[in-house]
Amino acid sequence: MSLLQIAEPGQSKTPHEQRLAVGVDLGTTNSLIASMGSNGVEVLPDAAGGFILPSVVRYLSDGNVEVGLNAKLMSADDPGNTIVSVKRLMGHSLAEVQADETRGFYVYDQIDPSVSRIKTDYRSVTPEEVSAEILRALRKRAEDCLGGELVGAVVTVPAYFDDAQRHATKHAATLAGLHVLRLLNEPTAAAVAYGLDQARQGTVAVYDLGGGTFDISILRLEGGVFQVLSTAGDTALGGDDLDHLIALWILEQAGLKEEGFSALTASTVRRLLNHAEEIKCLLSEQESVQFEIDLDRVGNYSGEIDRRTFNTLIDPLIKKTLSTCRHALHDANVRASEIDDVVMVGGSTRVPYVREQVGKLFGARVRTNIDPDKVVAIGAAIQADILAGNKPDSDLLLLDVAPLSLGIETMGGLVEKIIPRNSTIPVARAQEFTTYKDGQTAIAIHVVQGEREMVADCRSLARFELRGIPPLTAGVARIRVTFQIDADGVLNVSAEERSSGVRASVQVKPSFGLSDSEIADMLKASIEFSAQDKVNRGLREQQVEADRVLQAIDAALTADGEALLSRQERVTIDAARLELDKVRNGDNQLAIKAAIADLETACAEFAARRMDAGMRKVVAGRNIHEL
Amino acid sequence: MSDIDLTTNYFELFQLPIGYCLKPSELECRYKALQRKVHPDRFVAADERQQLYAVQAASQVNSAYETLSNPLQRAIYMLELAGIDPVDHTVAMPMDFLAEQIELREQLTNASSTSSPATELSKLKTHAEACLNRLYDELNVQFENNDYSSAIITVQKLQFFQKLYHEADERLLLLETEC
Repeated sequence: MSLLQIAEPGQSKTPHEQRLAVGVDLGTTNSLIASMGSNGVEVLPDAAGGFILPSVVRYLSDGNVEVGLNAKLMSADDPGNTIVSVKRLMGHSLAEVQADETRGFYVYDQIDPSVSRIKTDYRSVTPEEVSAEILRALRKRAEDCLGGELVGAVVTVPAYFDDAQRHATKHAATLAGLHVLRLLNEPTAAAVAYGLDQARQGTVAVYDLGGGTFDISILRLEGGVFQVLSTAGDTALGGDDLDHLIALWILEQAGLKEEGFSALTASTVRRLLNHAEEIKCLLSEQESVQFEIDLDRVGNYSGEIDRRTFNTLIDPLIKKTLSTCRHALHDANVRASEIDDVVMVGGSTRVPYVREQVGKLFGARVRTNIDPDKVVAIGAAIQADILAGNKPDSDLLLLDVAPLSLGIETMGGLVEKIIPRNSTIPVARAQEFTTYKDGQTAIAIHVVQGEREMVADCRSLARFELRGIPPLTAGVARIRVTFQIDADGVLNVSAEERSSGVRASVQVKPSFGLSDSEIADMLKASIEFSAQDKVNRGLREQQVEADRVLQAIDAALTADGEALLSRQERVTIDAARLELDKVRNGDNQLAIKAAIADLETACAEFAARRMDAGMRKVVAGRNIHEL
Repeated sequence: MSDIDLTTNYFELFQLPIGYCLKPSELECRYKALQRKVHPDRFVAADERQQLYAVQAASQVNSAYETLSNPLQRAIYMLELAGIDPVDHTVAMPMDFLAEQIELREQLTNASSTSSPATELSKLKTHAEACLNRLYDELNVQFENNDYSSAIITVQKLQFFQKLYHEADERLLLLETEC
């Protein structure tokens, strides 16, 4: 019914009704929530008027949970039950988080090695559950401020988040009762906030150094289109690491270089890191900072650190980000001198040395005019407002990319790349597999993400088996596997067996925290289609088709029914429409099909008139039955 | 949305005549116009089927744009449309061309041990780029004349130079980011 669909998709049926949607910046250190108000985007405050929610969650003995500033204040006194920087644990296995001491000093549950489950005194929690507490607190704040239920949220993630980390974030939002309209990359969100605010065109670099992650994105802004040319980053490099370096320096000064953090109790480690964070912030304002800290058996240690020392400490990390910037420029095929503006995002870009070094790389066009803490939430709120259908006339279009290459394991542990990094999403690539033995009925597929050539050096996303392949001579079966990265940057895999003529496909969402057997179960149904399944599928397809036709005709009648139809013609169409509406709910596939055809016939003349009325261009060469 | 037919070839999808010569700005303009119609962001409130369709349609538009905007991929695609698979097609490359390639590969391998690797690599990159551009021009004429047998050879030559260009480029980037 292509002729009749002229209503813009996404258009709100009742334009005056504002649908409440929010943008959420779920940060490593701090989180924010924003929403589009009548005077532009507002970052929503808590009851005390503060905008920032520290991303800290404390589990209490009575089963309650404290989130935000109160939890943060207790982080040193109750370190085992107070989770900070949980974002760094998202989508990681136990082995991965334990190998890296900057990710925190928690006690982990050893039951399932694929999940980094934190043991508090009162219960054990997954990073997703901890993040969900933060999101729940933000959701409540938004509902209090806006006075209504939220239709959905755009939740931001570091652009360099891999598939597992994106899944974990989505899962956390679901646990918090938030409907995710879209996962939006943080630098892209910042570019939206910045680009719309300044009505900018041109090529922009977004340098986003947050609490725990670093992203660089190169974008082209033109006529409402935000096209990401490339993105690169490090999901384990951020302000936390700068704090860490200061803390280690203090330990060294205090004569604890050898032992490091192991010389201290968990509580002292937390206090030292909190202290280091304060020192870091002060060093952005003043040349040197004096400090005094209790280092357990060393006792009170007092000292001084100046900005020059701090700069030397952090220099290797900052150089690392600059090197990443060069890679991003290279992938975007853009020279540093061609960058019109550099947008600085994230609290760590307050550090003067960071601004100086980034300015040097790109020339002196570093923009900090939108609050680097708020810019991501603001961009997310703009996108949320549009996705919720509040701005049908918006010309905003975000074209983002997949940050990491996607591949599969081939012989000898090598990776065959299927989707290269920086491919514009959504993107789909199909790969055909066959059997190598007579009678083989299963094929194992190992999906990895990363840039390295060996499987062992890439991130393993999923291993699964395609089962139920008809037993044929080796090389005859044709299994087409499609790897699809959707607009959230999340991977879906579907499989289709083609040699036997049966086309079947099933979606797989591989993810950390999902055991192999769960994934295998999802796939088991793949390819195994019974006759009944086919009938059911046919009926469902007809019903969906009926809904589509009904929707299209309703829209057309609303738009042009009055102007283009006589009373008698309208009665005929209404009757056919009613008939389809009736049979649609039954289980007679053929009756639905016939009713669709009848309605299309009844509308043929109407459609032709609408075409004459200005649609000729859009529908040239198509007939009414074409889908 | 449903007025976009995903079974057509990439040229039809972009409402362009099949031809090697394309205006990049026009292609980009059509690409963005298509994405405005089909991008999943426009179907967040739609039913599951429409959302799935949007993901597929937008993926298809992205693939089409990637293929058509890249001169080598565009040439391969046009050969495929003409029923020729240039990858499976074994053609004997001219001996002098192969000799030249071996010479260039040696220069690439030896570049790192010269006194100024960056200059050497840049020189190779510039050379490869010039050869690529010359071959693109040749393809223009060959496709114009439906001279597919020559186009196959040009495509194979392009692949050699493309590889050279990329490797020189990668090594330059490494030099630049190491120091």
